[in-house]
Amino acid sequence: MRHVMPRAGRLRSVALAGAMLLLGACNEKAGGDAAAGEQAGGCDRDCLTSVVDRYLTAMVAHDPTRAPFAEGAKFTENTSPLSFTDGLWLTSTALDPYRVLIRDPETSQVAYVGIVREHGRPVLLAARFKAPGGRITEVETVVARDLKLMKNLQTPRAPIMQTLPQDQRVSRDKLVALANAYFDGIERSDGKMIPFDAACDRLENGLQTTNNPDLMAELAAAAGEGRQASAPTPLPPVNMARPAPSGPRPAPSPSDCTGQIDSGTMSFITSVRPRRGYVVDEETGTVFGLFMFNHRGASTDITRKDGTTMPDPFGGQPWSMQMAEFFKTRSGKIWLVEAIGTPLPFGARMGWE
Amino acid sequence: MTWLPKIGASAIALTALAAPSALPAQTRCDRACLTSAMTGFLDALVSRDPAKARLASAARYTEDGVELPVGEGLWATATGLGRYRHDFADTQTGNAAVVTIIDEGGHKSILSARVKVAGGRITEAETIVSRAGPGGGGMGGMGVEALEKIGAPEPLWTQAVPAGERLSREELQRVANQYFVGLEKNDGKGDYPFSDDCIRLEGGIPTTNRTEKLPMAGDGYGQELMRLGCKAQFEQGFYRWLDRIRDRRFPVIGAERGVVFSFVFFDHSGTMPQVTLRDGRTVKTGVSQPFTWELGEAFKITNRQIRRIEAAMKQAPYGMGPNWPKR
Repeated sequence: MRHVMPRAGRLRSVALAGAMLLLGACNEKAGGDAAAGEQAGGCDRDCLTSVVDRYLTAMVAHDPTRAPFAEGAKFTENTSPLSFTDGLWLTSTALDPYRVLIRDPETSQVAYVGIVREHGRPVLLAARFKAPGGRITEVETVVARDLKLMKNLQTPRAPIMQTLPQDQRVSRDKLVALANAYFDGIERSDGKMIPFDAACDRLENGLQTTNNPDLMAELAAAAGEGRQASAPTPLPPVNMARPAPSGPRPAPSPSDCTGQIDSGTMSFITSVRPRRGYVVDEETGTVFGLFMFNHRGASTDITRKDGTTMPDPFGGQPWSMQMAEFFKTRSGKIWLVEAIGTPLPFGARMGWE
Repeated sequence: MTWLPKIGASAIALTALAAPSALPAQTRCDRACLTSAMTGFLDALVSRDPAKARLASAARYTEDGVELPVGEGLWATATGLGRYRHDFADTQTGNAAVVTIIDEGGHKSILSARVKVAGGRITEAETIVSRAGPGGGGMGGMGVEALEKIGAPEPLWTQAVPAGERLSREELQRVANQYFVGLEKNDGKGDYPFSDDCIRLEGGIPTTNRTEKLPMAGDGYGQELMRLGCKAQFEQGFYRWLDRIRDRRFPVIGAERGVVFSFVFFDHSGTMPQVTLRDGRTVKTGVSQPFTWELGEAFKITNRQIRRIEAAMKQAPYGMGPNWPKR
């Protein structure tokens, strides 16, 4: 509310010693030197790591001259084109240890997911960088604010950045196909068409939305303190189903990766398009991308495959949600999923069309 | 728009084929004609039947600043209209605007809408829906209830300004724009053309001259601010955390009634969690993250002073670009 002061968030005074990545030289000139490790327009894994480090260091210092930008570098935050003196560049104050890197030397791209402090409060930042020759030409970010549950955002799940054994790796095309199969499955409420590892689990804005008996309580806690700007999980609470008229009592919604999607519980998601910005790390078996979840809201009820119904958790109103999402795979199956999302007007574009 | 169901395209085709009784294909659509066009548009929305709206074949539709095919957004969800309706008409440009209540399956929101009529058809339609859901805005249910309770705008809004006191279109727009000039980076020292009896509604709720607490204003300085009048609020210099008011459009100007209906974006960079007022006090603002409002905002202006303000807002991605005119 413009003339009404937004409810002040509770600032968290968290010690951040050691979290700041002081890798950037403090006196670099505008545009800075290209990151080390660049080769003939490419950027190897170390180079890509350096690109991220220097970008983040420059960002929290509110000084774009410390980052290795190419001339005319493009930047979006939550789909809006901004300058490198706006958005999180103005409000970020520090970095938390939580961070994931997905490095793709073949395309000179790297994706970062991590916790940034904004006036002391944690936000999730997901970013795709393109940096041919170590100079950043593209930065596409999703910032999820008003996080309420931090317990899963202290340390990334251990396997995510671990190198896969050779016999568990698949090609980059296969990794992108896995991501697309996931979203095709959501659009069709067909969990069985998605190759899931038996140990599959998913985090959405820090909430574990699969195999989590505490999910309802965690959602309620998040909603209780939520502001209008809060980034909701795209998943509904798990046991909202109502009996069909004179039908059997509905079974609880499955909570595993396959069953959740296959039950039709997520059918309020009309489409996941566009899908773009893939960053592929074949060594770790990880694929990252940016995706728009569209909720047409044409019905206030969802009919599950078993014939039972449940209310659309978002009230049958149209809205979209931009998600940055990555998939850790092994042996050609989706193992760990992590999504960072922010709500947007229905049908919002990605800013890169 | 390949991701959207094909209903949008088919709805447009239906619209063209059905050709309902057109508005008078006169050069100028008068107030009754414009109000009728808006009524037709709203009725078509809630019956989810674009063919009932008198749309031109190439009509452009946006919702919350996003261009959508006719048939999507509210066209797929609206189920009814509320009681409150506040119309604005600009017979010179053929634009009509409204602030009303829209129901989507039991979820009521304030709707700000504009249509443009040309050649007897609606050629442009834009809506802002102040939904309380994800990425919502406004005062939510409290504001809807307040508007439904009063049912209609204050009679002052629709009173004609005596002929000898009417301002030119340019002057009306200038005064309305002064509101945004004074609010942007508000320092308390500007030219604030408010009448002494000025009242502002935001999201259906009075946010000036309050005698009761406003729950969403928190427990701090906000409550004190809400007790002040329009001019006194601006003179505090509190709103300096509002960094930019941009892409200001004034599509509906009604000289006869002295009204202006505008669309604008408010950008808040989130860099001022506290401000120092003109009286030297430092107070918390709660504005510590970037966010943008897109708004429909109306003004009643007499004697070069703003007497009434009515605004409805929707949260937008920070820095969201404008979609009118088409880029």
